[in-house]
Amino acid sequence: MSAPALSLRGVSKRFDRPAVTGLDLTVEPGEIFALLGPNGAGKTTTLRMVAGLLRQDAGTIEVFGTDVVADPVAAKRMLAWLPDEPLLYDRLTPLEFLEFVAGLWAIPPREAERRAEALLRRLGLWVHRDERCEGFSRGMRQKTVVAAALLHEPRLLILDEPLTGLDAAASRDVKDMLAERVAEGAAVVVTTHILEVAERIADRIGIIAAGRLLELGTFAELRARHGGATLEEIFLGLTAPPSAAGVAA
Amino acid sequence: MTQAAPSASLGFLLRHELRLAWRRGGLARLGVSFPLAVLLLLVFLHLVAFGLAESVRLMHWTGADYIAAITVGLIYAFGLMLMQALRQSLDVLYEGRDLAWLASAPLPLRTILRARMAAIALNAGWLWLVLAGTMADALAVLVTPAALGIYPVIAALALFAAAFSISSIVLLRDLVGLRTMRTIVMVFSMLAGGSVFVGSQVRSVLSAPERAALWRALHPHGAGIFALPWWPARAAMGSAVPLFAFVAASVIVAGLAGAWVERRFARGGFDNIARRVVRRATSAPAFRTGTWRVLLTKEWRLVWRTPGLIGRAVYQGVYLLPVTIAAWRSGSAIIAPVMAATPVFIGSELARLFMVTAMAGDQATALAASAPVALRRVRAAKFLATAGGAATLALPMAIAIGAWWPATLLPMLAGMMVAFAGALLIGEASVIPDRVIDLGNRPGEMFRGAVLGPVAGIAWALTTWFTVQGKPLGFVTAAAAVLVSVIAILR
Repeated sequence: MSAPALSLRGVSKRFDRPAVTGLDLTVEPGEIFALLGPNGAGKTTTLRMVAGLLRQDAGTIEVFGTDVVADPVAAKRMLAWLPDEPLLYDRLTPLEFLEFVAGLWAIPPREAERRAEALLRRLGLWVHRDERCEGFSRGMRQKTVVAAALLHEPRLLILDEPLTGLDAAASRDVKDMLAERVAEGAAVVVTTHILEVAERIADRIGIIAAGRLLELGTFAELRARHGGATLEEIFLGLTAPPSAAGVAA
Repeated sequence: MTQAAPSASLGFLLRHELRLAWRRGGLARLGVSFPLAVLLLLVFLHLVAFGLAESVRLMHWTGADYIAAITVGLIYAFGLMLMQALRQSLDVLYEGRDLAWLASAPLPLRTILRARMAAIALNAGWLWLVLAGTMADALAVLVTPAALGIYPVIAALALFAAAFSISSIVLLRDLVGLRTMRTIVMVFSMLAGGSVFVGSQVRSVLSAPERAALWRALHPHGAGIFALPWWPARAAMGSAVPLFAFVAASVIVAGLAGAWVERRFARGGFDNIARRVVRRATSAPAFRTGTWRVLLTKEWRLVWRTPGLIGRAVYQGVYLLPVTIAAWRSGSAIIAPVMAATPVFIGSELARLFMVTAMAGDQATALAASAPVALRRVRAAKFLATAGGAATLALPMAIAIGAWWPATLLPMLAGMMVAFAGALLIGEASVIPDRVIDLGNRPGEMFRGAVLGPVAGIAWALTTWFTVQGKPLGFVTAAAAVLVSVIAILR
């Protein structure tokens, strides 16, 4: 039996207060998993731990069977991480940025060049390929980092709010590109505050609040467990503070 | 019945501007409260000012002496105010990007621009109000109450500086575009600051007879005391007509500048802020293999595309100019060590600036941290790229000096190597292990680097200076340099 794309077992992380507590989660290859939660729920901390940017206090994280602490380089080779704020070098052009990313992930030059051109063309950035990113709009910056995330054809994509700032066409393109990666056997973990997006693209949904996983399953399973409620109703019912929940009731 | 909320007033906006300005400053970043900082500063400065004022009183200066001294002081203050006002105008009008957002609020554009100009004037003038004001307080008690005229004169000078800077920046932007305007402003403000510094080093640059001649030239003679050039100084001494005229002129000039800038913005100035500035690469990148190569290429590109960094480092050389001139005038025995210390200091500053920027100012550190590359390799590439950049700029100077004074070559090269290593250590020290993200959001680290860097640079330059002279004191400064490096590592 092949290893899951992502496996978290008993993962905890504490800063001045617990950020993530005893998180167990498995994402299979060929699956889009949406991690939902209110602000400060621990989503970004979880993704950063998976990306190897933060080390968990307890538990294990494995990417396709590779422990991210024991062998971070091997784990990172398989994944792409897209932060909630686009990380870009203002003084590089998109093509230079992709060249840099290609070097970091050791993609053969010709292949990298071909993929970079294809991605930039598809995302409508090819005409801007020689312009420095400093003057880019939020959407253009987001497209550039999306291209960078897809450049090395990762087997696991960890995407924090990937559609922020994108126009309708670019948003659809990105969703199509993610679907293509998934069809090729990759897995995608995505966080979003737009519940309709999660409902539409995710195979399974996890809802997290105060660092704990509160609910997990397909949208149909969640509906069945919550009496046919909408995702918004389920989400708010699980994550609203007690006083608000009382008012809602 | 609810009452309609009043529109934001000039005072409200000014308070907002000043709060932003204070929080951009180093003291706020260190957590010092504003009232406490002002109180401590005022107490300390008044103690110093009373001592100085007593000395002035005992010197029995004539009116002409006072006018000459105050004129020089006002020119000095205005130069530095102008430097500050130009940089801040650039920031609040074009770099901050919040002006268009503020203008979308339901209040007149005039109010917003007036608040901005007043904030620029206050930012440029507050230090001088405090410095000259405390001196004026002391002189008012010990010599004459008319000395209090310095307060409105400093305020008027700050208004002049704000009006000039804000209108010239808008005019330049219209004439030559945002990018060229930015370069011109940076160069001009550096020249203003640099010339004021060099001017302050008259004692080093000029001989005693030359200084005496200059002092005489700066004196008004006879009826000349009433000539226009001396009006600011006379205003500062409390003379009613010059004081009223000077303050009135500053208010009128500021009003005209504000109205003119408002008209320019109303006619499409915001389009220019919003317009995307496109800067293209000169050639398409060649995709290559090799982590080292891409890391080095990226760092080099970023360093060379930040000309302000190089400008700032080279600008440090201005501070060496008076020393160099003084050494030149004093004879050949001292010129060689001074010249040898220069590239060491500049090289150290360049390496430090590049390194701190590359390490603590990296915009996308987390990207490399999420890549399948060992972090030590990323850091090593940064070391190589920044040291190579500094060496490219500083070595030709060292080689030229070494060709002229061969005995300086080895100490100079050794000094530069130590300086580079130290700068790299400072850059390395600005990274906290296991916390590779969010480096750009830790101004405290940048501040520490900014303090440690020049101290280390001066120490290594002194080491070279003493070593070239064959003095054992070189070992003391070398020890100090090592100490700074150790502090940088262990902090």
